[in-house]
Amino acid sequence: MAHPTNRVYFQVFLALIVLTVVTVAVSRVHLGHAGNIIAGLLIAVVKAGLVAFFFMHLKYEGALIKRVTLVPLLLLGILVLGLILDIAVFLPKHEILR
Amino acid sequence: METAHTHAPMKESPLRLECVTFGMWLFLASEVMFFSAFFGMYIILRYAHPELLATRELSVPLGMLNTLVLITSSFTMVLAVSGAKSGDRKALTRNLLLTAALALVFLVVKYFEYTAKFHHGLFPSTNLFYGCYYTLTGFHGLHVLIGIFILLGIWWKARAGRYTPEHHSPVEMAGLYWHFVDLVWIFLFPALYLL
Repeated sequence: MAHPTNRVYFQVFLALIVLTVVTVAVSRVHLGHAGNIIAGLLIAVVKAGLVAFFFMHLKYEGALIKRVTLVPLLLLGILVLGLILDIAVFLPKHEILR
Repeated sequence: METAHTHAPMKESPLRLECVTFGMWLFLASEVMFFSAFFGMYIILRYAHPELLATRELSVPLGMLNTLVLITSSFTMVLAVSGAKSGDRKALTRNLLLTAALALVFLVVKYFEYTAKFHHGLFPSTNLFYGCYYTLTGFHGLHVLIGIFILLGIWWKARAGRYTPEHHSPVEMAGLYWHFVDLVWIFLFPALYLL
């Protein structure tokens, strides 16, 4: 199992710092309500990917571990999709939330 | 089992390491679902009560500071694991302690954020936005607190020379847990403070 050097870790660390500054800066630019949310989440996904693949060594793990990480992502996708559909179709009827 | 584990193996079989790593990722997968439930709650809130966003008074500089603190702590954590791998005990113990210290800094900043909110009369019961804010950051903070104890426990054993380049899976697993805590915050910060 190959492992990244401390130099690689430092580069990832710098990238995470830069992306944190970028995400705050981008949130100040008006991209429309949905635009800002999408931009913010995209940057967060890139940062999470950097942490998982390099700091958590996911890049260097075998197929088994990589597949395990797909399960919660799939379930999360189903959950969010279900919520959005529910909100779009039924929210006006959810008296308890109003 | 515990005594056999702590005293016996100076060398760990690749199969055992794979099993331990697999189990840890399985645990983290369940943790993703734990936080997903609260994120789901927050998504519903944002759709159902967009007007509550106007009541948001969170300090972006403090949130950003805490993001940088956690990212730095993740970096010191990988340096600790790196030290364990190369048998550099000094790098291992120093970086474990640094990671725990940065975790503590995170909680101190969080403490000042919470007390500032309380002084402005903003409690979990104030409205659904603050209910979500305290629930999400509270459970994340609890994970940070647990992380401090794990890191100090590992540091204590590292100082006693329990970990070798051939046997240091507890350091790696503590690292996985700690990076996960950082990962959750990477989503919490933009979701709660910025967007």
